[in-house]
Amino acid sequence: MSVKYASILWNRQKKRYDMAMLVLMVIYLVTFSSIQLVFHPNITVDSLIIRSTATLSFIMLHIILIIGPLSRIDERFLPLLYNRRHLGVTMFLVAFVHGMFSMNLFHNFGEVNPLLSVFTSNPNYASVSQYPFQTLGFFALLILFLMAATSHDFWLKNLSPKIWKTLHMLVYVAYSLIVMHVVLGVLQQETSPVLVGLMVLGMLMIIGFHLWAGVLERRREAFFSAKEDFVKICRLEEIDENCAKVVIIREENIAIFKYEGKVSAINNVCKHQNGPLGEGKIVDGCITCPWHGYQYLPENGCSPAPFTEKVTTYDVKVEDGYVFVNPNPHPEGTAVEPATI
Amino acid sequence: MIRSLRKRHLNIWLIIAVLLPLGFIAAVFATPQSLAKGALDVPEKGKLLKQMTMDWGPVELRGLPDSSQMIQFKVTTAIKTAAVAVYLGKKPIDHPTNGQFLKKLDSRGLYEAKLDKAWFGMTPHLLFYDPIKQEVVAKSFW
Repeated sequence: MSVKYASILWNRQKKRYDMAMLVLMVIYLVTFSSIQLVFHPNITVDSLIIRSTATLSFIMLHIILIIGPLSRIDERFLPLLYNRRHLGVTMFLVAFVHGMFSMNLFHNFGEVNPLLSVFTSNPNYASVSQYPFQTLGFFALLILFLMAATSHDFWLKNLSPKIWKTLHMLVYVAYSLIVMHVVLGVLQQETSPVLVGLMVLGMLMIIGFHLWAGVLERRREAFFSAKEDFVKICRLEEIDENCAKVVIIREENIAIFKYEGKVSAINNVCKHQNGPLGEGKIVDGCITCPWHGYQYLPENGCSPAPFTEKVTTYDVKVEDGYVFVNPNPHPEGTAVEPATI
Repeated sequence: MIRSLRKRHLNIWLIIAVLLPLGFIAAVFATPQSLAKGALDVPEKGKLLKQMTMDWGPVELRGLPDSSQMIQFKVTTAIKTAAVAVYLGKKPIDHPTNGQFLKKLDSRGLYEAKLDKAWFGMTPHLLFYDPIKQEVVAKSFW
């Protein structure tokens, strides 16, 4: 959190996650290479590496992009979200191998600088079928590099969450570039309907899950326009123990937690990366952000010592089995007496 | 996800949901069709002087009415190497540095290379070279 930067915050879950990821990657590479060698016995090592890393990184990108909406739709997928950064950095490294071998194989035998050759060897920028598709891959790789290089919390802190998040949302641009890189590249020669079908399926899944999650969340949010100080929110039973109900009242994004016979309300936005605190749970007495595990005390919105993050707090009361909240925020870190049930 | 971020995500994906499939469909429709049947049955040019058959199709040396010569490469089946560069020499050559670059062959189709008049009455020696693996693929044997 805010006290110091550690190179990687390892824990047992992360190690198991990374081990599973590496094992699956090796299994995929071995399987893919074996199939290639059966169907193309004359394939060169370079081509084998280019093809296997291309398909592996593309599959990994699909998984990365689906984890987000899946965990917004169903919280059981949240553990995947906690570890997504390692998957992203690994995916970049695989894509980088693909890019380097491709550049070496296709652009390293002339007099022109290989990097320049990527942009100048095929000048058919006005053509669709002859478009220099490698340029699209280059720009996608550049975006992935920026994301991998700034993936550490050091950059999140120094760039500010807003800029960092905007930078990392460029992954959607990278995904679009890669889809066009594939469809204008390999699909112009390998016209197998199976490949086209797989591409369409992947695209439909990613776009579909993101739109589904977006629409679902919009429905979930409760909008209030009440003018009174305390706003009636819901029946007490509607909030699960150690969980929250999220409401937006007069532009205040509030998470109301029920725990140990008490109810407290804090701002729903995590200081770390704007994560949704209301979608997290109370763990060891602390509200725990579902994105990266940042914690806050429900009574005062402060991170437990030695951490220093603070969020705003709100007055809450419980009357006749109903929860009421006052949307006028207290300053960040202000202690507020929880409503007792 | 907080509301502002959710809105940004939803807007971005609505745009992608429209533009990306359009790009995809355009690219699929623009995919070149496989070589049409009979596309290599071109009218014969000049007089056939020499001929040999490679793995990928025939190579013909033809004499043209203006006393020049032309080499026709008919790539009827896919070449097994990623690319083939053809080099020309007055004597048998075993490396590109001993010859003169003539033509690059890749996908199926008809490739023609006209020889200037200096080659009149001579039978050129060809070297088929893979520039990527940097190895000789074949030599002319006519």
